[in-house]
Amino acid sequence: MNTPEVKAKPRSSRAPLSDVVGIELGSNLKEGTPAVRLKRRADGVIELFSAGFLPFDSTPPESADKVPEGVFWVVPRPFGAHSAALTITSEEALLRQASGAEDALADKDRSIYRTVLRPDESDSLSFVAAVPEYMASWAARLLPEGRKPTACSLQVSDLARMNAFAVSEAFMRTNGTALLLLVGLKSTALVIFNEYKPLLYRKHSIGSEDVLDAVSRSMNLDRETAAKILNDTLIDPTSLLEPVLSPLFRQAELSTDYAVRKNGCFIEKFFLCGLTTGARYWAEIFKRRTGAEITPCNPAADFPRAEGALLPDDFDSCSASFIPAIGAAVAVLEDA
Amino acid sequence: MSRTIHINLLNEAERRSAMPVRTRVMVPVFSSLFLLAVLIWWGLLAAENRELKSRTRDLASKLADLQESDKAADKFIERERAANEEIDQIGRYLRGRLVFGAVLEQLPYVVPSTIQLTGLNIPPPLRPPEVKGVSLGSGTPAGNIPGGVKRAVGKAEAEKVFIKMNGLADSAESTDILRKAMRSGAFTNLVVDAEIPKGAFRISGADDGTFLFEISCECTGRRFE
Repeated sequence: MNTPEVKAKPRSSRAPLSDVVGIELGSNLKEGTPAVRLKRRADGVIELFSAGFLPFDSTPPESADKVPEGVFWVVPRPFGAHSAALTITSEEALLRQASGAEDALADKDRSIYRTVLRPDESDSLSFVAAVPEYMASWAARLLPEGRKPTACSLQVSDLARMNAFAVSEAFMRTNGTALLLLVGLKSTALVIFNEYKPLLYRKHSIGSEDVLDAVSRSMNLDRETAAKILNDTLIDPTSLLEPVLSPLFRQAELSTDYAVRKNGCFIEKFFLCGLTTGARYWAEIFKRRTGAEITPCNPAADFPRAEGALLPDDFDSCSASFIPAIGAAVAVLEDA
Repeated sequence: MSRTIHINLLNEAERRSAMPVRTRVMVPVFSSLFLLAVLIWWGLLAAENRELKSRTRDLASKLADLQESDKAADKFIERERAANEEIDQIGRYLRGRLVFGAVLEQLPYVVPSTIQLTGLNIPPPLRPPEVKGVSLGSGTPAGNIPGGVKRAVGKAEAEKVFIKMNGLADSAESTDILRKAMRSGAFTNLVVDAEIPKGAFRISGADDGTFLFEISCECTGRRFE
């Protein structure tokens, strides 16, 4: 099957949305599927209305023949917005800086992927987002017709994370030029912004699980214990992390130089986003390797909240889990 | 200006409505129901129209029959009216008839022996002049009878009927006896006045001392009531 490449519409042709629930599929969290409900106030400010973990298994199917049939979600009332923005976290869900699907995907992949190209604008990057067709169809069928919410958007989580950062207060306080490291489990996306628009996007196959694996393997500990070590100061694991993170930070250094040479933009602000453990050690190694300060950033923690917002009790500690869901919902609301 | 990049991988066909009632299901259903309702309404109208046409045809047929019967009835009514008018007219003639026979049979008993009657004449009645408000033409009983004589009816003045008597008398006294006799006795119900017109008593030419006379007796008026 050869799926044609579709160009993304610059604006939705449907009625503007002001109430959207964002759901991250494939988060692989034991708490459940992260979901947030965002509402746009009359003055245009987008607020967090509710957040929580839905009791559904959102693990994407591994192949077309493993797509479960007849699986429908009935979303709890606090998340009963009209529309839902779904975002998929998967190794198969791709976001590439490219001018076309032929640049972003191999020939064999193009035949099984659903791809959408964000048209190249004069002052912005062009992106290609892609997910396997079976995965997109599975996600589209999760929310049944006739019940709130129904899916209105399907995005890849790397872009959703980037969008969450793009609207964060931390980024808004900068002059619009910054480097962002979006850390995932098995990969890290590097984004350089200039004048609040992405200038460069690269993805590297080093993620937080690689760091966790390095500590666990070196110290012969299980993953939970390794995660605890990364969160306290009893043991300094810097020497264990440095070999893993050095290639990533070297790429960040090279990308920064590239941006300076190409666009003449000097990057002062560096942000680290998506880490739930060991952010302090990532920042130390980054400073040691590049000489620059990198600031851990959590767009979900400082996202505007509605009065009486329904949030989990431990939202402050688990808020990073909601970043992709927030980013997906924000993108829909801002596109409306 | 949007700060975010929205790349939507969802196909338009995969977007579903959160409305419990599916528009794409209900629109054809309601359209079909509306069409069905229109068809039923049209069928009812057609049936009603057929029924009305049938009733109109029946009524027209009955009306034609009734018109024929009506004409026949009109003819009967007209005939009845004409017959009644004839009967009324005959009744009026009967009521207006003056019977002279029985009265005149008494005449020999009152004529003096010295008088010889030479003539007795009852001229046609004098018809009174037409009076405003009293019709003598169309609408009067006689007027409706072909060939009939127009007669005053109702409040019209009665026709004057006279009995003219001529004869020879030996004297004026004999003539006056006869005149008075005509106003009395058996004649009182018929004769209302008797007089000898001026110049009607004169010497006869026979030179035998006899006189010619004429007595005019006015009878009771004849009314067609």
